[in-house]
Amino acid sequence: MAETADKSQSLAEEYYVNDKQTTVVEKAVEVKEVENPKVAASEEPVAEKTVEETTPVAPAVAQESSEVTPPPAEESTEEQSSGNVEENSGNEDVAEETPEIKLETAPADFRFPTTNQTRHCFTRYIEYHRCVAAKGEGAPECDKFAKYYRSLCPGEWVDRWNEQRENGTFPGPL
Amino acid sequence: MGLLSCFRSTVLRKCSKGSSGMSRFLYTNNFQRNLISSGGNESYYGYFNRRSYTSLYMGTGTVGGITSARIRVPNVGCEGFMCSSHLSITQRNSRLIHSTSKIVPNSEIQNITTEMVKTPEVSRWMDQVIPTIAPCDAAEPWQLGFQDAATPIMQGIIDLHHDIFFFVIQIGVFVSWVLLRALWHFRSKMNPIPQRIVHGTTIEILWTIFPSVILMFIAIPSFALLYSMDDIVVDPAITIKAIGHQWYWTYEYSDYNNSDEQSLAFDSYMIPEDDLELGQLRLLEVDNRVVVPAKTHLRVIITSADVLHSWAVPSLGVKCDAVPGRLNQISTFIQREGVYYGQCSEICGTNHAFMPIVIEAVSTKDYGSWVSSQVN
Repeated sequence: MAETADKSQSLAEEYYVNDKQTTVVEKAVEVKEVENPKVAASEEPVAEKTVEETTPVAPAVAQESSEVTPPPAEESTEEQSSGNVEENSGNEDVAEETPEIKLETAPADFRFPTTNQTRHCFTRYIEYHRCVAAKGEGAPECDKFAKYYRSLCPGEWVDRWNEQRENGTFPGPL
Repeated sequence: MGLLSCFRSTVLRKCSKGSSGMSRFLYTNNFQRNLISSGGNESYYGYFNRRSYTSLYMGTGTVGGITSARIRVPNVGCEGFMCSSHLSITQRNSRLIHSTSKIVPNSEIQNITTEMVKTPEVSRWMDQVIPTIAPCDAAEPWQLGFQDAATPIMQGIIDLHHDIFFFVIQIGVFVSWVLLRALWHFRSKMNPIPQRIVHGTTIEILWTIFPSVILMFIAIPSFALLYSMDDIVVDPAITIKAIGHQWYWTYEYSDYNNSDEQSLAFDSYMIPEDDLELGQLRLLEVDNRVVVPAKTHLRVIITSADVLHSWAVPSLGVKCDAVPGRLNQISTFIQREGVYYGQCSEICGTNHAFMPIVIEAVSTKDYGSWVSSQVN
């Protein structure tokens, strides 16, 4: 808890510093607009200033980007594999991974091949709660089903179903 | 809607102050904005992160950025002659593709339409001069034909229309010729006493079999395209939920949630005409755009919270009804980066004309940085 608080404070401080920088930039832009009527002349110094501002942040961001981005060969192989996906394929990352975000979602289910996915959402929700009932709360096997129903079901529906489950009036077979 | 629209427009007005630099071709500094960039404070989505998006970490003010590439593209629709030139080049390129394309199965449509991304040398040179202007796919004034295709499905629809229209013109001319000839040769001056019984077995057989053959040749590519739209063989990488309300759209990205309470959800209201900036499109701009990665299989789940709506984006070739209590799914694969406009296409009340849809297709890196800025 304390660590997260410290992180939030540091991030807030960085944010405030960024605010001041932008205000300075705006003032400079306004002054130059008044002084120099020529557009081309005024554009270059502004561009240079933006470059100068980004340089202190650039090395860290460059490092992060180097870590995040895999080689292009892997990207090309991923694209090829996505083109050749078979019918029985499971979850596949169509795009690259980031340290925080993984581009994956609920797979297509051949029990529900049509446009109507209402029962698909309902079934995924029931599967998750059956898994929780069978293997206990917080089981790692059930996280997959939780991700599936969260991807497919609107938030309002899930809230309503959670409320019905607590009241014991949920219509599905749990 | 008025009060909330004022609030949204206020947010947008504050966002415009974060612009930096001056365009060589656009004599104002209000157009170029950093849509998705590493400089968090100037990010287009950074401001909305604090106010508009209902996020679990709404108040922290943290704006994360992963990519170091600073993308400076116009925030607004088509503006000036540059975007029009780029659009015309895109159209020319699209016509070149169409002249050699045929109706092929779904797996081959992608191979044909990937050439859509290639641009001629002139456009490539222009992209070096103006590397940041994204193509803006909205209808031109009084446009009668299709918008430029951004998905294989839309390219297939355009090709099918052009092929069938060729037959339609021929059949129309032929039938008109037969009708006018009959009117001329059987007029009352030449035939004062009309024939009472006229029958010909041969011509009956001919005008029954030939239309059947023509309809068969029209139906085969049409059914092939229709069933390729419902292709669910490929697992999608991203699921977006579009929920229609009176009179706005709500979008949810729930692939990145760790609990039921946490959600990347935002409302997408139209920018009123009074708050439009120069170059923005009337009745089409929204305050929060749907950001998706290009060249990625998407699943869009469409539903409604109150009355019937329809989620339609012409450039993507998608149109799907939003029915309350039902989840309709469409799959799409956007081939090129850009901004695509659509509108609600099912009459839903007084403000049916004022709930537009704006989809912004970006690269995968930029999409990752956008999601990071929202989820953090």
